[in-house]
Amino acid sequence: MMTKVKTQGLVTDLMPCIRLLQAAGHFLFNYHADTSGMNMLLRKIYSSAHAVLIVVHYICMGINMAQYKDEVNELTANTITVLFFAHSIIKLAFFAFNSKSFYRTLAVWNQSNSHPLFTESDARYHQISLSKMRRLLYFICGMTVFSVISWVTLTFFGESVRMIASKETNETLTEPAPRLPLKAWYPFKTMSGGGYVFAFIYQIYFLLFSMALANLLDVIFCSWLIFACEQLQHLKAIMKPLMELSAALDTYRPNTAELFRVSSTDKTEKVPDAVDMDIRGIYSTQQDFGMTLRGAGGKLQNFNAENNPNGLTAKQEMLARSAIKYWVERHKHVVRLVASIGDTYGTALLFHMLVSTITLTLLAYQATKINGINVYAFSTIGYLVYTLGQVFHFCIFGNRLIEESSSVMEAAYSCQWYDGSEEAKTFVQIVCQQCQKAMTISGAKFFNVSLDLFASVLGAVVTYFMVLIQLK
Amino acid sequence: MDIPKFEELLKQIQMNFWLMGIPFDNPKIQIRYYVLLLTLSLMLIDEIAFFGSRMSSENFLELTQLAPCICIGVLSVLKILALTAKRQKIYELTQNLECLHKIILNDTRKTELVRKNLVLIKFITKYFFVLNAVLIFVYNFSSPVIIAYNYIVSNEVQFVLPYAVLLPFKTDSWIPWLIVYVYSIFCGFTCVLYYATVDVLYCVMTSLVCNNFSLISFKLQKVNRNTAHLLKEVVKEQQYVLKLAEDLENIFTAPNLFNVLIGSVEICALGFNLMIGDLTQIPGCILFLSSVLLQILIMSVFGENLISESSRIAEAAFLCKWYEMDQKSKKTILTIMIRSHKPKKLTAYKFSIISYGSFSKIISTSWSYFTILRTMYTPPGTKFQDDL
Repeated sequence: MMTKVKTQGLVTDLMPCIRLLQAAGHFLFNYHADTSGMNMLLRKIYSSAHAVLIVVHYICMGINMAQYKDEVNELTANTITVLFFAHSIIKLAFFAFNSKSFYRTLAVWNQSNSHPLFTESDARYHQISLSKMRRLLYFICGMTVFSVISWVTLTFFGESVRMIASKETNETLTEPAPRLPLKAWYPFKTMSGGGYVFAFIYQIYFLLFSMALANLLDVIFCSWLIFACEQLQHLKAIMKPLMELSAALDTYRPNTAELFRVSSTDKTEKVPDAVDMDIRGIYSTQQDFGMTLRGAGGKLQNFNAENNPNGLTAKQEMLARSAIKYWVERHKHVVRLVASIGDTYGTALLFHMLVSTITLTLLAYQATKINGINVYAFSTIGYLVYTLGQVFHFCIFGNRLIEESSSVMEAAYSCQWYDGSEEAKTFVQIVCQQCQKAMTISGAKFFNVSLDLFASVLGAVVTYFMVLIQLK
Repeated sequence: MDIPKFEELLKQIQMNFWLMGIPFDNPKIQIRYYVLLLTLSLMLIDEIAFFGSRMSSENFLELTQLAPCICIGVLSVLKILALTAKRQKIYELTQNLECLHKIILNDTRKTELVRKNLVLIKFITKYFFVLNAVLIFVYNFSSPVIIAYNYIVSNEVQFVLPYAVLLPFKTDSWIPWLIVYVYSIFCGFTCVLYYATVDVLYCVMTSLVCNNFSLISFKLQKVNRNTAHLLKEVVKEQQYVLKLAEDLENIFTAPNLFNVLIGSVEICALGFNLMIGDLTQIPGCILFLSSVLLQILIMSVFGENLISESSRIAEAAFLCKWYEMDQKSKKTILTIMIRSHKPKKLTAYKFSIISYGSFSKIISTSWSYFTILRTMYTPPGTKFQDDL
């Protein structure tokens, strides 16, 4: 009954991730084979149910935080936990409101150009990007499951208490609290019995699904970046054969009459609409090869076999010119993809960095109170490593994009362009000029996602730690 | 002064590599490499164990005294491990540079250009090794001198070891002390051998690559209307030297990272010791601190050289008589300029660029950590006074 949904481009590559997102409860309703009203309603109910459960538990945690705000240590610990899960809520809401731009980015690569000479290289790099995306998905899923398991395991160690500030004596007393992974307020008793078991299961569900929500969205972002980087690698790899192909091309005598004639059969290239990024119709093999149905050289002069100055047949000449066109159009496509990724996910990155900065500051304060190898130390270090790991995750892929895009210039220069035709030399010049500026992903224009960002975050944490430890 | 031949420049380095057990001409690692590495690692583990045993908030001053020794030991082991992993690349790069050097020596005009640089390299090679040898001699043989001094002054024999280590047995009598002492000085020499060789190799290779860049600039500048066909040769040479620089970056990126990280820690600890420690420590501290600063400075200077030489090609392209050449040559010149505006940088594993800027950043970061440490530190004994 489940017919396989016809997908293309990025959606095919990212299908496992998309399915996992749908399972985790994101409001992702496209890419299903069966779009009947009943099934759509069921899916909407499923996602809303997850959203409601997660938000309700989050509010319970918030109530708990407000209840025990008198004691500083308790307040700090609760604030860190609340901020930690704020990521999931923010990403859930962000996706729900921004799903159109996600769909748009996923559709950017639905139609791509091709060239007979370069299909093998294209397929190879596409395969590499596919395997890298899979590996990333498995790794992040594994890490999420591992985090949940270790969190639940850690619950059973140490004493499960809560700090209370006694108002008369101004000391901190401890009162017993239920042995649960998270501290939250429940309208029923959770110290033991049925309430305890229900709360425990609810919390395991909450842990797993909220971490999955946040991490899977980051995986989609990083997968897009992996794809863009592998496309750039493909472009760098075909630079050399391109130069060799155009080495013989030296004369381009445009048929001026033909160039300036408006033809009725000439489909003008569609400029992509700013709102609708449907790229269909931009690439068509006919235009790529510049051939009309009636034969070669619609816009170029026709040479007879004997008069052709290059010694190439018209078809070979066409092949070489179309190769250059393929390269440039593919590069423009990658630029469009990266721009779309930045527009889609930039704001989410900004929110992530804001919340992470506050979390890391508080964690630095908590870290100054570590006094031995105990549950407290493990949980604080666990929070730190997880938060820094999340930031590192997208910083490293953002950095790779910057590196790959700025190394295109070096690849263009390192081929044998001096032996090429004048056209090839001009092509290399323009490519070098344009690719000097690297393609970056920015967090809503506030910062660039790169390893510098990670290093500055790490440096800031160390500085706060050192300042706070002296204030102790 | 005479232009040194390539073999002269590399003689000391090749001998050191042979001593370490990774000779230039043999891809197999010799047994003595593992032996040396193992002895040094054992010493380091001992020192770190001692450090760990004395770790508490009262002993902070003592800990900062022990830290620099451990840091230098760890640094030299990490550097040599990183270099052993890339030794095939090092051999290939030296062979390529040797070929280019021969071409330089055949042409007197080129020789004149790079004469000063080569003389400088030879000078640095010789005196860097000498300086470090002197340092380690002083450090190692200070122990018997101190023992003799104590004996003369107080007529009792105190068995002092050059490096603080945690041992399962006592060194109160001559035989155990002698064994541990000989082991310690052997490790000291190995450590200095490791990091001095890596640093000098870095300096020599970077200078040679810079020389080749400056020769390309010179050739490019002299191109005029009649010699426009030489532009193709220039481009090919530039592509080749860029590839060599890429290999250089590949080889030295890990050692540079370790240098930067551990160097900042060392400067911080030594500065702290200098300010807070007692007067007998000061000469040793100053010596150690200046050697660490010198090492990082030399690394930054040669990195900066590479950046400036590789970007000078763009200026040289503009300084030639391009306005008299034909259209094709002008296009070639334009392409060369666009490429050369992006200089060839050496990095510390892509985290930071090795240049003057990074040097000042390291100093300022270490300085800020040092000031924080100083405000944080309360000397032991003041608490007692408060209670009184």
